[in-house]
Amino acid sequence: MTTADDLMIVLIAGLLSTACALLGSFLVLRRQALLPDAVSHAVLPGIVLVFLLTGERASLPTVLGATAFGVACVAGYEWLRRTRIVGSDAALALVFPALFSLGILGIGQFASGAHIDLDSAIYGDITFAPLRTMRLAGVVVPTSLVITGIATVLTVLLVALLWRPLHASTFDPEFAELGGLRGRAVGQVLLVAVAGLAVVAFDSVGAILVITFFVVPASTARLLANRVGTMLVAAVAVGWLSSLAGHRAAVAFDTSIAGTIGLTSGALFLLALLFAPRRGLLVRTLRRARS
Amino acid sequence: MIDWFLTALPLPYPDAVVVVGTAVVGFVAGALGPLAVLRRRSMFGDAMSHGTLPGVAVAFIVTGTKAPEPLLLGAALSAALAAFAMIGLERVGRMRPDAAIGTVLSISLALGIVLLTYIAGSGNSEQSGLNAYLLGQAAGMVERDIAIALLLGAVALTVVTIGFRVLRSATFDPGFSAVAGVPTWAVDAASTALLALAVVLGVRTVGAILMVALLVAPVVAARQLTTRLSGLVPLSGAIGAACGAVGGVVSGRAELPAGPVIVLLATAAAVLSVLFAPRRGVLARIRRRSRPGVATR
Amino acid sequence: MTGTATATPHPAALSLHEVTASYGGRTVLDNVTVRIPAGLLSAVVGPNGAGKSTLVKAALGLVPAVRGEVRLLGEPLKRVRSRVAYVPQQDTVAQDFPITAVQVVEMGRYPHRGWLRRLTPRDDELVAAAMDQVGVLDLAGQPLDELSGGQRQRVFLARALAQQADLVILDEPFTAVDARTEAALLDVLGELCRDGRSVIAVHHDLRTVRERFDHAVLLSGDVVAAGPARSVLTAENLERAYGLAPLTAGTA
Repeated sequence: MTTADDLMIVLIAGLLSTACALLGSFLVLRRQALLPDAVSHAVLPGIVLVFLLTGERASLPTVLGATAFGVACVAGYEWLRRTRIVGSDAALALVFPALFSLGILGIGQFASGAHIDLDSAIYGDITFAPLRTMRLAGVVVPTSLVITGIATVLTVLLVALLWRPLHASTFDPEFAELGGLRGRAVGQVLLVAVAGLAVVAFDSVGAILVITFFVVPASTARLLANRVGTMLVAAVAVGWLSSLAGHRAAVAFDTSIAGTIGLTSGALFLLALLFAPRRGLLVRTLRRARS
Repeated sequence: MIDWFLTALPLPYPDAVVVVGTAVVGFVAGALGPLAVLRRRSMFGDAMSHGTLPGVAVAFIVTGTKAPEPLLLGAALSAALAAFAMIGLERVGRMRPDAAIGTVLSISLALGIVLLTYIAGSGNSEQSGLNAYLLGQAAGMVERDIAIALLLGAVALTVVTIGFRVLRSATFDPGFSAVAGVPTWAVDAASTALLALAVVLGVRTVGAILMVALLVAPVVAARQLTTRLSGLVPLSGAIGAACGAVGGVVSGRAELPAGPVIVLLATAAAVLSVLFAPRRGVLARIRRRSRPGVATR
Repeated sequence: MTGTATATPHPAALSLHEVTASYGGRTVLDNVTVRIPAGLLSAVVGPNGAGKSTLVKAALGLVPAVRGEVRLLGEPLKRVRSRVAYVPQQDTVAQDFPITAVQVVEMGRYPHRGWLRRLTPRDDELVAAAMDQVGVLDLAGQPLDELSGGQRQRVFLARALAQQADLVILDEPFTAVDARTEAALLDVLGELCRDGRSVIAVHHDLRTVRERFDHAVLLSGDVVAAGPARSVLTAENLERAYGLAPLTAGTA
């Protein structure tokens, strides 16, 4: 049985998957697949901080404030990495768990209550998204839908506007820089966008599953596509398919919606890994056996 | 014997159990951490610790109890599976390390959360403690936990001691040791297994999400203080033990999840060491640069 | 008359005046002054670590911390970006990027079309012509990661051709390339020079440089010699650059 609430949840998850898959594809191609993990850990204390200051959880100031905090942390990490005191992987494993710890303790100490708690930080609460509503032009709509929708539209616009510099600088950074396509600046814009999207995603899927939405559909699409354009379309499709099937599975087994969506995309990844037309293990094994 | 030692400590008995238990866990994680950090595989360790979650949940569903042994066994198996999956994706699937780690980490986390949520909804009265595997818990440790930790820790440290030379050369110079007749895959397998052991031991105290910090932070702290691997392993272990013990007691008294407290302590130790270490610290370097005469001596 | 550069029959394709550049925290070029004339096929040669790649990267603004003055085609880089094409070393390119051969070549038109303007039919013609010229037109739809090293390098040269640049700079273009492709690519580069364009390639094979290039700059941290290829690659100069005379110098 499908209710309007179910539809709303699938819609929110699908929109979120769309935005994450678009940016995630470029992150995977740029070998920055772990960036969303770092960013989602870093925005948590930012969200708590803004919540303490404003008492708001899903509002424009929260998104902007927490995004700024996350970007500042990642920029600080980049600086630390460049000083070469600590290896880059160790710096990643040092800085972001600590920030996440601050966020967790902050929630436990100061912010626990009706609006933000440990469970929602970890599991997300997309289940209750249809219940928290706002009035938009006289119509009552879920706040999450509005915020996720805006974030998705902005992400699509961003990717469309920056298509050439993103494409060229990911493929051949030196060529892009020389051709005046501003690869480095585009990388920074990408970081800010990922941080903003991680904050938006926190509201629906919690802090720790964010990376799933960025990386798994993109990795799946990478196995299927030979062009970036096709890859983005495939990643978005995997995202929607996972949202739909994941929601169904969550209802059937009475479990976490964000988790089942992640798990469905994981299953699609496995299918692609085995059966992808050119890069799948099956085809490659057959090709090797024949030659 | 453990009993005698615990009552000899000048602490109330429950605190004594926590101090000793978390110290042992911290020591093992700190001492084995160099296997991840020096081989530049820290995030590999992160994915392995996330990988313990599904194992814990499956073991609970199968056995229906919170007894630590089956849960730890489940955690170990699924952490090893995660490691195997990452290596497979890199070698056979031709994926970049970052994408392989990110994918495996994501999928294990999603699976773990789905299973944990399912268990929480199933109404099993035993399930309330499982959340500890997410963010860690030090309170409620019993002597049996210490015994397990001591036993597994002793096994791990014995392996490290016996294989020290091989590990050292494989860590610093993989090409050389491959030529010298030590198969790289054997060293890889051994160090992955040891890391899995450290992760599994720590996962209930520190939690799957933050466990990697207990592997990495003590090593970063100790690395600034010593240049020899034979000094690094015990020193890093000692720092891990101190952070574990203090964090365990503080979190228990303040009713906070143990993971974040221990991780913040260990990170503080790392930051202090990076800044103030006598020779390699940032401050010492700046001072040396401003007085070039001293550096040349 | 605004400057003397336009008055000379051969304005410099590339000129560096007292340029210092560091790479990875190490000063590789120290106060280098050199002038490479236009309209010629020029090589930058020297031992490993001599700063060959750093020299071209510094000239193209790809290495930060540059002191000194750089002129490309007599102008600062900012004003000639679209007139300068660059074929980077293969290892700086994302090897497994999902892209087809024709998409790579189309990138050659980006510097002319900017971020948003669509490629015109004229652009498509130039792309096809460039691919035809290096013999990869039939590979247009192929994914790049399924091409051989030689085919890939042809595609990258086609991108530079499609850009219709007056100056083409290549960094070690023949490293993963078979002999037949190398000869074919050198022919194309020679044609470019006959059209009045300039080509500068970082290269390490002294024999090819002596046989096929017009002009050479021999580097070893500093400029050891610069001028017509044959007069630069003398045993004496090579000994100064390499420390001892390389075997190829005697046999070539």
